[in-house]
Amino acid sequence: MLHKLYTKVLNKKICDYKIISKRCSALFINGLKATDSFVYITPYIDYNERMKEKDLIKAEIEKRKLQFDLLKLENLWSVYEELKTRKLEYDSRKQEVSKELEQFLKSKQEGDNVEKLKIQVHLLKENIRKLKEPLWSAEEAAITEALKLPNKLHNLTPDVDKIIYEHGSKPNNDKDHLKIGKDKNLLHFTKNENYYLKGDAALFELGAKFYFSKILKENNYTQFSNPDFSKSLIIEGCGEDHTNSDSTFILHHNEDNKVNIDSRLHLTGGGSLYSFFAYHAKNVLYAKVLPLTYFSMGRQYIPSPTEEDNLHHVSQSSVVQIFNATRNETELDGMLNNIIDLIKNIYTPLGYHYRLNYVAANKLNAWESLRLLIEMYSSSQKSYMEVGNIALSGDFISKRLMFTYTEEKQSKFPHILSGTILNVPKLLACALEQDGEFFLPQQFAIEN
Amino acid sequence: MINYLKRMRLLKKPNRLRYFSTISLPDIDIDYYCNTKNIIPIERNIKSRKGIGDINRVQELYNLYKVTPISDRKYLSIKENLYEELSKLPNKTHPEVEEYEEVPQVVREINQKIEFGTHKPLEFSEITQHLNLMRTDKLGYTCGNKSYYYLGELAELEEALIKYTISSLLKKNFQLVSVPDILSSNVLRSCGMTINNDRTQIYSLDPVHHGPDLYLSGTAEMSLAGLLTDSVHSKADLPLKLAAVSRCFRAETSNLIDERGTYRVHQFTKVEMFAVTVPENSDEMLEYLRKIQEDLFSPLGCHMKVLDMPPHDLGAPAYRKYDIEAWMPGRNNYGEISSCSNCTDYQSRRLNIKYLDVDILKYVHTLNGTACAIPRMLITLLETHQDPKGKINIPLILQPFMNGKKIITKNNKVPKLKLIKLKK
Repeated sequence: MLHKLYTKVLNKKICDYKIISKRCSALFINGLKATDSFVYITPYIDYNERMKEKDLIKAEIEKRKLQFDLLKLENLWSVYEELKTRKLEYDSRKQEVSKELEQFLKSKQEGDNVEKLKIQVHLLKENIRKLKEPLWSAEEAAITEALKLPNKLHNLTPDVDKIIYEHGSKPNNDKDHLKIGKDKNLLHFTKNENYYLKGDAALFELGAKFYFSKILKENNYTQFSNPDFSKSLIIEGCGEDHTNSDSTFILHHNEDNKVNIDSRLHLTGGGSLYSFFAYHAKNVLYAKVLPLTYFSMGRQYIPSPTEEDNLHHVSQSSVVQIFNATRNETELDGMLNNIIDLIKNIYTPLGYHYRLNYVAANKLNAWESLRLLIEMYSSSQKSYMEVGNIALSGDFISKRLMFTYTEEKQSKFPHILSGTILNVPKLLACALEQDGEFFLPQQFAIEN
Repeated sequence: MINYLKRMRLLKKPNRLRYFSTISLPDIDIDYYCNTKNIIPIERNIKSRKGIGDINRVQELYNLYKVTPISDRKYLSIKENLYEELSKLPNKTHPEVEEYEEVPQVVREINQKIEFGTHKPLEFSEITQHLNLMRTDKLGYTCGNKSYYYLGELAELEEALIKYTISSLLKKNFQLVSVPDILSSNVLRSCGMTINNDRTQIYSLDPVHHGPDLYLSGTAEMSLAGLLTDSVHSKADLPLKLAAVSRCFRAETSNLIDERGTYRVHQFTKVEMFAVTVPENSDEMLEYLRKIQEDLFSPLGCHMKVLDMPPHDLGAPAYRKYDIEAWMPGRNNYGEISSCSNCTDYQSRRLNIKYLDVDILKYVHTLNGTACAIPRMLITLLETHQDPKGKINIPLILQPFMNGKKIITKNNKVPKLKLIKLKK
């Protein structure tokens, strides 16, 4: 009787899940899909911890102005929990009955009791088998939805942009970097996907990178040289949609095996957060080695879906990317202060007007808890434009990509600060639009 | 001007190629290739270069083309076929090189091999493992096969090599250019790359997501040639000497034991030289580029030999090519670390790069050469300058570019990682 009832409920659930189980994730793979593709990482899901502060989540979703349906997630999760509990019940019941049966058989008893137990075991096995697929579907639905939950907000994240520092005063002219670049033969610009820097502009690119690299090394940063490709699971792990070709370049699949949408190669560049997480994903460190202060000098490739063509929107940039891993929030906040000082020490000697801006919650990416923009004034855009940034993501990505450390025999997740502290084409665009003639800052001379 | 406009329209709408085919075809020297007098030397050249191309087929099509009136509706397709066959033909070969048969000629040797005595020199992968300077293991699932990270002072050495190379080239009046790494197929083809859809040497972006015609540059030579497409130079501005630092992407894989480790990788940084000359001066420019390479590499203290490559090693575009092979003591083998080629008018005819000689437009000659390809240069340096005690001596000339550092020691700043095992 009980069995019948369960089956009935189950069938209903299965029908419910058929519709929504057609979602894809490169990060969370279970059930039958797990036999098709190798599961490299199982993300750590902190749903239950986070839901203890449900009101806060709600308020933060509001602040971020996101269309996230928390109720839907809760419903999916409760179904998943329900099925999981049921499976556990079956499992333990089966164990009990099997044990009982075993004792009967040992004492060589036969008769109705034994037959009854045998049927019970059989029924329980049957139930567990039938539950398998619905549980997979429910689990997949719940976890892929939980992975979309945005990061917590940092207490410094404002509701509207907040300027925390300003150096110099903004240029006053009507210059346009594309025109100056062309007139002075510094820039050959076809479109966002295709441009060349020439003469002093090309020297500016190399010189700027070397200057940043030098100061970072002086401040105990360790240099990395990273690969340009990342796999889909790293893209999703870092909080971006790996199937969205506006967010990363997806490489053509030219292998013999079948294309799997969740296991593609993406051209991201060695100067990206992705390449640092591709390094650290699924690895464990000892607490004593933290904090890590790394940087890489390299390319960053980001598709440019905008109609606007200029150096602010190009899809290939030379950048300096930093990556810091700390033990906890307190250490991370300390790191943030250090970085802000470091940014001032790097940018101020260049003599350009710049400002530091904590961006509003509604402009953050889902994985960010705080973002600081380094901005310069663009005379052609008549507004402040980003030339660099740093972002706090706490343990959000570490949990998704299983980057862990052990402290007192416990497994914990490092808190991350990352950012592109120099984006050459963006900086160059603003440098070309300064008052006065464009010149190569002396700090950028290659001989240095 | 009208031609130029038509060309622009073609570039924007490649699917219209057929309607304007007369303009898009490369201006290959028909007077030479279709003259029956030249069949024998051309045939011999194809054979000695082990190249593709069929001069008899060219002749057949040419004869057909000559007798077909323009009004004939087959005229265009015959002409297209003719040019397709023509563009498969390799460049001519330098007369001296024609005599080499199959073996490279050693032009000169640079530096002596370093004596290691009883110490057996280690391989790059072993050295970097001991000193914690590189990670290559278990990266397939996160960033693809054959990925590598240079860590700490090895990444610094990469930067030092770029700085050293660029500052040397600037002193020799090279113009630095920063190039795009994503290019369209016409530029790649014109540089002599063959592009097919599946087993290719070239990475491309997913055509469904990003449009049908975007490829990752294999070398800055392609991007620089792209910059010069459809350009006319005044004779006084030549030679043009360009240099670029770029990322290079190669899809080729190799299972050869000799190409293990980071010897052949899918992505790397390279400083490339590119020169444009009047035809009379390209031989001289090739010697100049070779001299620059020798001057750049000699002070690094590695043993090298400069090779004048035989016809079958030239590829389709080169007229003459010098390779430099460096001795890699740990591998106990020579490895190619650079090459420089004179492509004469092979690329300029395909990309329409001309100069004005008094009042006549003529095709320029293009040349290219490696100034520093990072992964193999690092292999050579570390294997040559390894110390039995397990540190690396930095060549004197690179020290100023590494903040005065004299040696590379064990990297303690990047902790070793430990892979987490999945719980079942």
